[in-house]
Amino acid sequence: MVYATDNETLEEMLAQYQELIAHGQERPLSADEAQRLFATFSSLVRRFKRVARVSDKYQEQLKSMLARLDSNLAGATFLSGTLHICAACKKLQTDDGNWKQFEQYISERSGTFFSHGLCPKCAAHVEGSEITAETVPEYLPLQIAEADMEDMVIVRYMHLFTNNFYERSELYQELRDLFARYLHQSRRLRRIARISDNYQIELRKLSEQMTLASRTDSLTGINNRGYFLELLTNEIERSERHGYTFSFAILDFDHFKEVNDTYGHATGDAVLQAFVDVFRECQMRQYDFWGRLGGEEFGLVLPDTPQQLALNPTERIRKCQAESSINYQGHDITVTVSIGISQYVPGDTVETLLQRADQALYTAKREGRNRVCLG
Amino acid sequence: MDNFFLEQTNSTPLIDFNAVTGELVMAGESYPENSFEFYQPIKSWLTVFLAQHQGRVCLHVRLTYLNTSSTKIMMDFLDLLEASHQQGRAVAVIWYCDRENERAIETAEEFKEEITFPFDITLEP
Repeated sequence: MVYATDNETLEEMLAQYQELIAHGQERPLSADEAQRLFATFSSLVRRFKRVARVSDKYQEQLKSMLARLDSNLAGATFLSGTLHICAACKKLQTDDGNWKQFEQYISERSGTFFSHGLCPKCAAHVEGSEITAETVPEYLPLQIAEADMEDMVIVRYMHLFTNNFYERSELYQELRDLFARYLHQSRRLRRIARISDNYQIELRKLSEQMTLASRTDSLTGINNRGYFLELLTNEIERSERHGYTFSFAILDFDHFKEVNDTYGHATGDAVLQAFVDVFRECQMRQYDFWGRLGGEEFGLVLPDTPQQLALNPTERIRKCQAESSINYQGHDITVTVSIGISQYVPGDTVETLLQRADQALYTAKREGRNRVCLG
Repeated sequence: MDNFFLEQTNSTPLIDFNAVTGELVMAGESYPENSFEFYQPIKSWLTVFLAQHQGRVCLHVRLTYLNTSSTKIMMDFLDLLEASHQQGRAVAVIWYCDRENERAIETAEEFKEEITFPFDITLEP
């Protein structure tokens, strides 16, 4: 069975129904029609997300609608005859054709549609049992906030509940309840979106932290081996593509094992951490990058730089390190570095670059340490 | 009525609902592959429990992450508690947040605004 799923279908239904009324063939809503009405309502709820911001134009429409309603109200004063309202239940009396007369008059002069169904009391009477509401919280009095006006459906129907003109109509209470639920759902949807956004921001922050952590060496806070080699691989690809070259240096501390053995590992760690500060003072170019390869060994890449030109900055690092010291229980400890450099040539891989830089480093160590050697 | 217990997993929280004491605990993260499927039996249990149980109910929430569907279901749970509260039952929620995490506290406030019964946001170190 195909149910009404949008406003157009609903309006079609209403039109058909009005025609029935016009032909005096009015009847209570059938189960199918009621189902369709509820299907339509559910689809409206599902459409929350797609509801656009209320435009000024729409507000104008609303005003003109209210103006029309006013003029209809003015017209209603010409209704002839007497309307009998029960003093106790405030309902229009249907005897003597009063109700029909009233309905016809209103139908002809306005877009108001009369839906004939059973109210809970009458339905209970017919069914012989009380209708119990499902357990939903009681809603507060309808107060439309500015934020609610973002919802077109609310804007469209709120006027029904902001004046008491419709209060006496048969379906008012149910419609109001439906509207209150809609209002509640609309607000809840916005709230869920806000909550969801909050969690997503948290998740994103966490994911950024994790990415950063997965790339960072925990002792020195600079790139770890994995990420450094990833950047080196990118640099190889870039240089291959554009026909550039670059220099790759391995920086290795001299006699580092002795530092650890003599002063303890904590001091060794402090030397490595202090090296990061020394490196920063040497003011490398912004696109030079480095990382800790492991132990007391660091890697450095100088993009677009042949090894002859890499001598100067690496020599600066060596010299700065040789002139710096850290304090250990009143002693100044100085640990020097040896540096081996290789230059990228087409066809090089991470392994061959590491290999040649290692050889140059070996030469630097053999020649007395605390020096820079080219591969 | 039996208690309801589910071990915590990577994507689903610990569910420890005690039918005798009325202490209901949810802890962990919630992003099940199918949230509605995961929460359906829990919701059913809660519905039956609220219908049968007369005493005080306290829901302890220690959730650090809820996906959108879980958020919706949490609101359904709060609705059930609210309805029960409207009928005169003593209901409370204690929502635990990391003291440092302002966004988490803000989120807890959002949940709090949905209901009228006592909702305590407890900050933890």
